[in-house]
Amino acid sequence: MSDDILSFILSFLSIRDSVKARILSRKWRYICPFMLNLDFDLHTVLGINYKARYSNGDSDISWEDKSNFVTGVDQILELHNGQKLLSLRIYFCLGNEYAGYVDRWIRFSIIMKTEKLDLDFSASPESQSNNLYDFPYQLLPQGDSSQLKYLCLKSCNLRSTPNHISRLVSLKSLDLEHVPLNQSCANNILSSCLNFEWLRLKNSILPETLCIHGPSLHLKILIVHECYGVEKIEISSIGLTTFEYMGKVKNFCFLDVPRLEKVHISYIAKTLYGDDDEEVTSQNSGTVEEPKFLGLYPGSNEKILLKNGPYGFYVQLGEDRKGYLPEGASVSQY
Amino acid sequence: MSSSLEKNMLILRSSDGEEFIVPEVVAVMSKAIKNMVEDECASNTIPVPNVDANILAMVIEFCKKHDESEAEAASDLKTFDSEFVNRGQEALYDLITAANFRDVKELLDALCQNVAEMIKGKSVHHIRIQFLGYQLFEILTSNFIWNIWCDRDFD
Repeated sequence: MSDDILSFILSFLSIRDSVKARILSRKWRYICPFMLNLDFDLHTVLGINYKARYSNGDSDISWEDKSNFVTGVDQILELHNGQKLLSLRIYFCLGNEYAGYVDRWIRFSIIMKTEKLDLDFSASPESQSNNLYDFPYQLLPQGDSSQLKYLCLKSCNLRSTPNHISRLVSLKSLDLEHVPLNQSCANNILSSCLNFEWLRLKNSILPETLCIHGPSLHLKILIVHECYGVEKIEISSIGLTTFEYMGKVKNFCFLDVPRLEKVHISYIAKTLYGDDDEEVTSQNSGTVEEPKFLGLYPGSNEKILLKNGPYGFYVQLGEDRKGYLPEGASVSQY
Repeated sequence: MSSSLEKNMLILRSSDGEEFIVPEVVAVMSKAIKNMVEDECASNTIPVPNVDANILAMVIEFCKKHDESEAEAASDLKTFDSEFVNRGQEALYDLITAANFRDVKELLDALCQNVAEMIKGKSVHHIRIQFLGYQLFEILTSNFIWNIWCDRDFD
């Protein structure tokens, strides 16, 4: 039977089923189902239904499962002989002890000109490794040849090395969750990723004062969700149009944001009552009633106000018709 | 040209010489035949080499049903398809070869999906036994198997 037909039959199957079929036949072995996206997790690689298996509170993934997982991914990639791979997603609990494997998969994705790389090594909060995987910038090609546009890292380390960080230059979007970030690393990323349009920081440890500065004209959307350790956020980004925040920071400083159109801020209840031990995390955005003065709009000198609406905080350009001035609001001036 | 033949009918001749009279609309569901008709290089009798009468009759049955049932509910057609492709592996192999060679897309889709269903969710051991000895799937005779794909199959 022709290779096209075999490949077509395999395209109806899941990764796991197609590998099972291919390992049985010499002829099928190197037939590759036409797959532009590879998605590896407990289910696709090991055939384990995570919820059914770990619902009884036993959330630790055994050493044996981990070892089978990395071997399985290796074997699937070895069998993959397509020309291009659009996206590679790995969702499994792996720490830096498996860096040798993960580095190899990333090398593979670079050869396959992958545009979207999604590494989620948390799998479940309980089984999270203390030994976070270090994302290997040094593997990315230098200059403009990198095809990587979307990078999503969960429970990884993004260590700042100015020499290598410039290799992220092709990135348009960066999504970090449970990825500790210090100011110098943030600066390096912002100053070297010139094509950057979308940045999200979630559940990550951030510096006390987070400064989003940089010459990047392209950063349009910035989202900060429930990050730790941050007290003040300073934003100076010419192209920024949307800023979304969820957490407990009350001190925002908008320095140079001429294109900012949408700001959405919501606070988490426990922080409003100043009780860090309280476990309540329901959203509460009903306690601040005064509009907050953020600054002056550069073009018209109209006031930019942070106001409280039914769906959280928003920014309004100019004042209400009644024209009252906000009282006691802290002002960030420039 | 045979004058008794209606204008929109074609004759298909199988590899073993049997002739089938089919409406043109049915015959052109095969892209290969459609191209021949459009290029006017087809006489009233179109030879279909490599496809014997038995298989050709099946393919025609499938195409006729798909041609007639354009207005019918899609679910009826699906039921027909799944019954149609429910055959032994030798017939499946011949049908796939014919559908591929004559370029009958609907038939090829249904057949390949059926073969995929035969593999889906089964253990390596089971797939091996199922296809062993058939042309459809040239199974390795050695015992070489990557273990991690088999371990959990007997769960």
